Amino acid sequence: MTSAGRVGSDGGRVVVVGGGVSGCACALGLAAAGRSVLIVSSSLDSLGMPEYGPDLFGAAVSWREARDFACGLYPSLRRIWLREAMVSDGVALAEEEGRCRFSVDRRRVGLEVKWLLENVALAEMRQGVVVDVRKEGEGGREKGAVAVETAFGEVFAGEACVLAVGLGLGRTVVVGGAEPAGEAFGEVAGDRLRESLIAQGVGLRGAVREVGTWYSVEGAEEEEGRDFGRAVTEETRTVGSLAYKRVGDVVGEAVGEEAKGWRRILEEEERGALAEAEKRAEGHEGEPASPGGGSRLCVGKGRGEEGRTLLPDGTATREWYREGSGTEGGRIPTRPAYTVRADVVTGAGEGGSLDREGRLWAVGRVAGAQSYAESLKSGLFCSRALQGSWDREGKDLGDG
Amino acid sequence: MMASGEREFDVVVVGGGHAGCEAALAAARMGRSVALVTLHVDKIALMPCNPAVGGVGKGQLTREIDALGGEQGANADRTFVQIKMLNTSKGPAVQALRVQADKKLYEDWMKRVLVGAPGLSIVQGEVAGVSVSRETVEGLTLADGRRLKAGAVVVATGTFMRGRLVVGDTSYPGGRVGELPARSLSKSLEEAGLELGRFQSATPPRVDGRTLNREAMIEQPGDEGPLGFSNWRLPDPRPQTSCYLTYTTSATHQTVSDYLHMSPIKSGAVTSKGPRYCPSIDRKIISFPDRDRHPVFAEPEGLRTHEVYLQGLTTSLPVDVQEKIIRATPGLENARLMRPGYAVEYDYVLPHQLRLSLESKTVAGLFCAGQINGTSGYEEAAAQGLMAGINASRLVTEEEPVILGREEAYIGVLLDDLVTKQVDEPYRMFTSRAEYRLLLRHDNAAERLSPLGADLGLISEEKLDRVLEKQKKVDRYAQMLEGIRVQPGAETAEALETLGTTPLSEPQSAAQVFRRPQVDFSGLLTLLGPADREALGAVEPEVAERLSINAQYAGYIERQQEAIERTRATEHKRIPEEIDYTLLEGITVEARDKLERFRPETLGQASRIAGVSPADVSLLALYVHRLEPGRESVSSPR
Repeated sequence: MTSAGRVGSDGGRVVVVGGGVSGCACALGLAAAGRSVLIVSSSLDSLGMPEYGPDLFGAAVSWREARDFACGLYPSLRRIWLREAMVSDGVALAEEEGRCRFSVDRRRVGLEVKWLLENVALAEMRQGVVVDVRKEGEGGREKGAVAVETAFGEVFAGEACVLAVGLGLGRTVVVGGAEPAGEAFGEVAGDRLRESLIAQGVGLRGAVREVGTWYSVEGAEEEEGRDFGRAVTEETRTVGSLAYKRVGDVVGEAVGEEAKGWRRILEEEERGALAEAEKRAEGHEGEPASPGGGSRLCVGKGRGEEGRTLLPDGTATREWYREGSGTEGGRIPTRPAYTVRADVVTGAGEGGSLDREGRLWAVGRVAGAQSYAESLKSGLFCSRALQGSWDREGKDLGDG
Repeated sequence: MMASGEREFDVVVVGGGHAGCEAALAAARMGRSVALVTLHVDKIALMPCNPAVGGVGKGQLTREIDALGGEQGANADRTFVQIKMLNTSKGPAVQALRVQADKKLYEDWMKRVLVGAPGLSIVQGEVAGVSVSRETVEGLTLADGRRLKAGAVVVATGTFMRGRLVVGDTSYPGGRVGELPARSLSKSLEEAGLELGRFQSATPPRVDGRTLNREAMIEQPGDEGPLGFSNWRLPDPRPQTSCYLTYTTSATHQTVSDYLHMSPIKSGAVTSKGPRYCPSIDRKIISFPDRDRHPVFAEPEGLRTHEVYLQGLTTSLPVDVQEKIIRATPGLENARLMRPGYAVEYDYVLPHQLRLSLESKTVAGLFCAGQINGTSGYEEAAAQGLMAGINASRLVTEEEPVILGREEAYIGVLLDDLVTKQVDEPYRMFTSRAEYRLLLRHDNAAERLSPLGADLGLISEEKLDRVLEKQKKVDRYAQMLEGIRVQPGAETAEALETLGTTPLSEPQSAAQVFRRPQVDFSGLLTLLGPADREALGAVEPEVAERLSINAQYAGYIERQQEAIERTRATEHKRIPEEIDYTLLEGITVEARDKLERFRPETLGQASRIAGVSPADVSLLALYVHRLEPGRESVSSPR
């Protein structure tokens, strides 16, 4: 295999299996630290795209938590997740005094993270469904400490392999109490990979993730009198009349002291981001517009039945996301609530290491992360642990 | 719980690809309540193969879709990164538009339109089966137990039915890479009595655009325009990105030959038929051993990605061989592979089991559209989706289906070919498939079809007025040209010479002079007096273009129209549905078998069935004539 056995000059290539939130974060971290890295993803079309709704933290968090999280991210990732792709930033909830939810445009995250990775010199990406990961000693089939094989028979060798397969191992999906035969919602389950990992002695346990419900708001006006219809319609009009607000403004209005640190972080980047936006505008004047309209930043929040928050799923869609199952005003969900069952690893050490030699690692949901924020942290933490030496200044790629 | 809930819709569409999107939108815009069921909402309107829309033959389809009130043309206009008018040096019948779209924006915009369409619900789920009772569709069941009742169902599942992905000697079930196939729908359709076949399609590798040596390739820029598919709004001007052309060499061909034994089409891993007109490089080397080169177009997949599609290098050879093939090609020596090419095998519905309306002949209310009917291409899919959506909607309201004739639209040619001719490989549209292609031009799609679109409620009256207004202008100016005399004389002779044509010997009408191929509209103006010139100077370019085509091709157009008139009586003569071919005497055994198998709806269709001779059709015509009500008794009252 021509691409196999290619080892980076700077300490060996890392193969990241899975191109979701944690895999991309980990790959970025590694490339930033000077390691060459190959992401093998089952679908480059959805590389980097968060799958389980738009809620960044998966819950309402305090501004302090949000700020601490933001500080721990690379500026390049922070810019994407907390600025470019944010559709609902810091919606402080009345009954959760001073706490907020952050809603991201999932497609935008995917597009921007993929673009960022494409532009990172040491990172490569490849489409392939991984069916086997094996550690190899001397005289193994391929040069390198770890070999990763795809369903099409490609073999990629590396010094280490990071498993970032999310909830893909032996995945089944349960919708509305019925379990469709096999997996569901288009994603291929990593059944063969699961067998391979068991053979490698990786410990697995079952995990469950509840995914909420998506609704489309179009036609909500007709349902006046219903909580869902009213709340969402109001917010849609806000979006529709282009009453977009910059993140900083909203934060300033919404909260007090706690938000200031957050605001400073964003303002620091404001100049850089604006400069980049201007640069982009010059180069691509009149490029086909994204359906979200001019600004990507908008505020949107609806309040559904039972007081549950409805988060916008993006600016290019009219879908809204809500935790839990059930119905909103008798409306048909575009995507029904479902439960994912899959295996996750047990006994991961620091940074997600699965063995003493530091060849196999796990990050993100397969390593127990419960939210995108945790997946991002997990991916970055792994890249640091893998690298061994973490440059606290955080050499960044996206700005370079 | 939702699972227990049963929902009722007028029309349920299965599949969110190019056929499914048009079907759902058309039915919803016609006022029906519609559900579009898709395996994954995030993958709606995905362009899984090339990043282009249109092309010769296909571009005409896209224009017709737009003229009838479909979405593909407008969506391509919103999202293109390059637009080009093809065949500008050839006649108007083969000119067509092609765009390179930004794939992600294309998806985003189409989804935005779908989610915003009143009466249209998107439902994520896998279809377990279609419910049929007494040969009539009742709805469908999702794998999670939800049931959707419907008056009509449009199945537009593309390559997903029992899809299997193949590279070299490896294969696994899938609809596209990383995505599951539709596993149970095939069985359900078979149980409903539909016969399925197996086809194959393939997609080329994608490489990192920054690793191409564009210096060694030929730049293919777009046209400045303003150009667009949609008749209703000119797309915003924008800077365009280029494609790059290179050619395979003997080194490329040698590499393919060396590993040909590993090709799935050679090794037998893939046995089904693939598209002859979009062959893999493996197939090209087998079929054209004497050709020393084949073109390869490097097409950008979007603005926000470096991925580049290698049109012409479609292959499902093992991935390492794919890399060797790519690197043996000039300009691609250092290309870095991002997505390997692969083949997909899938179930399709043998389309002769469908009526011209795309409704199943055996299951009332069940429509099939798109790649599932054995076609290839986004445009062919969208055209079928639109017609299936229209006819599913009309079935629900108990109206006659809309059938476009071969003389009316490429869409008519497409559907007629599909249900009348034996489709033994994935079907692709070409201008040569249309008998009357000089009439079915991309520039007159709106005049041909928008009145129908307006009747159906898919085109607003205001839009139709614009179309009619343009037609009126063309007529008015044409009349004006008839009335203007061009006098022979030194000045005229000089002007004609400048245009490259001969002087006049006697006065002629401007219309007559305009018939000369050398005289374009601006040239014609130079021959006229100041008053006429001023009166005609304000003519819009598209009106001028139409005047020019009408003048210069007048003879051909007339002849095609006469041919249509001659055959009209037979072409649209309906054959009674309950006709018993065993009672039809004098025809050949083969003709009887074929007629029984295809059960054509009109004499025109019958005449196009392979194995049915003109003599057979004459006998059939007589027989049909006799069967008509009131024919048995000669002295029927009237």
